[in-house]
Amino acid sequence: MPFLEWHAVSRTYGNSQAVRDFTLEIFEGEVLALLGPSGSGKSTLLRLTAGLEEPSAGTILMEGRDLAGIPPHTRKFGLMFQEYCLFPHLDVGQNVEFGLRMIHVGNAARRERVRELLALVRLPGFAGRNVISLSGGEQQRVALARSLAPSPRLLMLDEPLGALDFSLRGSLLDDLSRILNSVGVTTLYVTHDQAEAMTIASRVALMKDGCIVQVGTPADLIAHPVNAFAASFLGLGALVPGTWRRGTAGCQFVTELGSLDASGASTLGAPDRRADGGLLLVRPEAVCRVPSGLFLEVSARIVSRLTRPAGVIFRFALQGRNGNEYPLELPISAGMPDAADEWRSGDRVRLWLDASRCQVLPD
Amino acid sequence: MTRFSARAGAAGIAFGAAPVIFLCIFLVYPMSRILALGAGPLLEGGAAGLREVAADTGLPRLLAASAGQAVLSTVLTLVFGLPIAWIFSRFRFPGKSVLKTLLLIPFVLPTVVVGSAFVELIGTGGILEKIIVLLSGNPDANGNLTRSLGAVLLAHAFYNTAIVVRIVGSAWSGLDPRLEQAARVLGAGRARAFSRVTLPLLLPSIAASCILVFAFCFSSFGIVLMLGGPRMGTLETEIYKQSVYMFNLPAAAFLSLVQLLLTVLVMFGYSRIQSRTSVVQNLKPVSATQRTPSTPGEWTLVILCGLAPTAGFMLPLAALVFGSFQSRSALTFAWWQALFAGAGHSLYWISPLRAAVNSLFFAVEASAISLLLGVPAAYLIAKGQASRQAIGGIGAAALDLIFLVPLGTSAVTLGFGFIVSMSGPPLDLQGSAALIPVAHSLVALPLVIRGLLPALRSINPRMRDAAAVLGAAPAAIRLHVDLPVLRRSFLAAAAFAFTVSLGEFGATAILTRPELVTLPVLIFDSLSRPGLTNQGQALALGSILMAACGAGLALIEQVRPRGAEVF
Repeated sequence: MPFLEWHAVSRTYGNSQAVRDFTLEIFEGEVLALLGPSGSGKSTLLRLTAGLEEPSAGTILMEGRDLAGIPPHTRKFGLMFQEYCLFPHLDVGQNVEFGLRMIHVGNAARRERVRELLALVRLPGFAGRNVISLSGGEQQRVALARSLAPSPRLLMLDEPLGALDFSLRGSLLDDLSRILNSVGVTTLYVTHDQAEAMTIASRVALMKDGCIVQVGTPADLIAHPVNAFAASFLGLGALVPGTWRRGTAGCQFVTELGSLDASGASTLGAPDRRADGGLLLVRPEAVCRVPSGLFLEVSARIVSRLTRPAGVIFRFALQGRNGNEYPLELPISAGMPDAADEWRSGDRVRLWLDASRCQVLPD
Repeated sequence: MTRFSARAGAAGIAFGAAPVIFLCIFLVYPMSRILALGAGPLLEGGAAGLREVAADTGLPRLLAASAGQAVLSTVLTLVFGLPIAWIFSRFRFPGKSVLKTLLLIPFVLPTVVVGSAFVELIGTGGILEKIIVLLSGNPDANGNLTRSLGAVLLAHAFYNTAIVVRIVGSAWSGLDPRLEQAARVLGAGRARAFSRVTLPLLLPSIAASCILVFAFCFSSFGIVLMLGGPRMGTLETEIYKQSVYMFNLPAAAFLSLVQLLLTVLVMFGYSRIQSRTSVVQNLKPVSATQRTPSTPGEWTLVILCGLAPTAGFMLPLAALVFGSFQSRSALTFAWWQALFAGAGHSLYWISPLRAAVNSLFFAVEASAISLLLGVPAAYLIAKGQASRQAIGGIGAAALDLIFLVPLGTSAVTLGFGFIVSMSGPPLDLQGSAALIPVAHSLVALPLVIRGLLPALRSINPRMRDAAAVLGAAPAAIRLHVDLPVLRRSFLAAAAFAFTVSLGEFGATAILTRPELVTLPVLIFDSLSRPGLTNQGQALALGSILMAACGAGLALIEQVRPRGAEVF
């Protein structure tokens, strides 16, 4: 039995629907990421789950029991807010032990637990510190310790790295991953950053406009995006609109970059799912060094050439025949002609796309 | 809605109903009685009757006098207040917080104390006259500036400069100085950068402080009575004369009605402007907007615009204390000794100790009442303002306005309202000792609510959510999150109500009975009787009252949460 189930959960505010018909389940010990752009209803779903708001429709079940009407303070869930919401009138230790006080844990046990958690988040000896004097990263770790202290049955993290400097995020994400693994708590992780979701979660639910677009493992999502939104939000490559045409020579997908023959490219999708339109997903790995098999020759403008420690990255604009441009980013190592060393920003170059590595996705 | 939140909603309504009921009984009902009394003649006589009543009471002249002196007072207050606000909000220098507290003392001082302080400074036999006599060598030289419009304006500026300094100053100190710097870089000179960037951003707060100062001056009573001389009559003093001396209740009611309508109008404007200033631009912490003066020129400016006026404001207070030790230019302790000898001959004379005890009792009662009612009222207003529904917003705006009205209503009108409405069934409280603290808490309530609102708004609702998720039940949230954050504001609000009650004069003067006389009333009584002893005793009493108010204020400044202002 899943630990927690959402059944057709909706939440409306006036005329706007923040969450629509949301159905999902999370299993004991799992780390599930809710991924989506801002305004996709992720935070609302957390508030509904925590009991801070009631769903307009649908039910939330915990181990088969309906949670409706159960106030937040008796649910024994942990929620870490994006802005942390540490209590400014309490010091670090008093913040961490707040939840323990609420369930009347004794003095000695409380002190021991605070010490243990501050050690876990690598802030030993911080108990007497004033929370206002802490850096952003330290506040985040205190908030995490505070959420974990009462041993919640479900931990919800709302954009835990959202308020931090970009440079801090990498190391804190690893830290967070380590802590979640060592505690083994069932975790619902909300983020708008796909890299974050893919790093920390065993399963990702992609959301848009209050609905679930796709649920799967990170590898699933990358390999089989269900639609153009999923591919573009996950940053899988350039998306070029086109239409299907059935001719004497078989089925072709026609775009302004050129036409692709479906017979030689199974990845273009099963014939029965070929509707009238769709978008061609051009991934970086579709670009090939030498023309081979079924290929498409396209012209591209080099928008910029970025020199990074890991190598050179080109940002291309694929040139459509109607004048539209489609941005595509790829490292110099992958499938580039040898001449690429000489390429500079503003150059116009030719690239070959391997048709068998392209996908057609519904809009 | 769950049963859980329905129960909370019912409790909330009961909780919020108390202040509204209180206001209905002690503000709306008396005011409606005044309305009925005043409207009677109007309804009978129609438009002609209205003209007749207006002419009989000299309404046009009274209105012109009230509004005229109020406008001039407001201008003078701005002239004093704006430079001080600038200095206080842009510079850091030693002793600033002490200066800020000193500047606020006049605001809570009883009018009689301010009046006698000004008389001691610029009245007959005052310090100014002594200086003139000394300089000119003419023992009959006249240095009396009281009994004039100028004295009234000066006293009003003395009273209200703190309002401008606090309201404009808090907006100014939150204003990012880089906005002005950006304008300078874009090619604007110092003056243009100020007039095009800083001034427009400050305008709402300047307007709010102007309206408040205007309202206070328009309904000013004690100052006009004591410093304006017999020929200066305003709406407010006329209400007092008509009701207390001539016992012409319909005329007094008619004038009170005019006063009330104007007050509601002005307070409506204030409430609107204030709700707009609360959505002000991205405010900066004070640490980012203030700096220590660095050049001799800047130090000169700080001294000229900040320190000098503050020192000037302390002159009347110093004159008061000085005068209490003076008898015909000689040092004496006779007045202070007389206070405890209990020598007095008037109907109202009771021992100063007794009056002080009365004052303290009323102040304790008034602060308890205004806190008990102010907290739920502030909760309701804050909740409505934060609500996403239009009905909540409108309800909050209406409540906000209703609770502001007593701030602008003259204390005399309030006292008069009690007399006409509480002296017979259904409410017979005439002469009851309860009316005085009730009137005091009505005067203090708007200030208490104003003080609590920013603190309530400053509690991040997510903070309550965080506590709830950590296992805190609603009562535990109030105890562990709201109370610690609000504790200082509660204390500050209580101390403010206490100080206001200690100094309240207008309503007490109308409602008091001999055994209920308070310090301000006793001071006024002593002042209005001839004889050096009476004058000297009044000054000594005034010094005591000033010290008490100053102490209360110092307490407020100590416990007041940083960044929260009293208006």
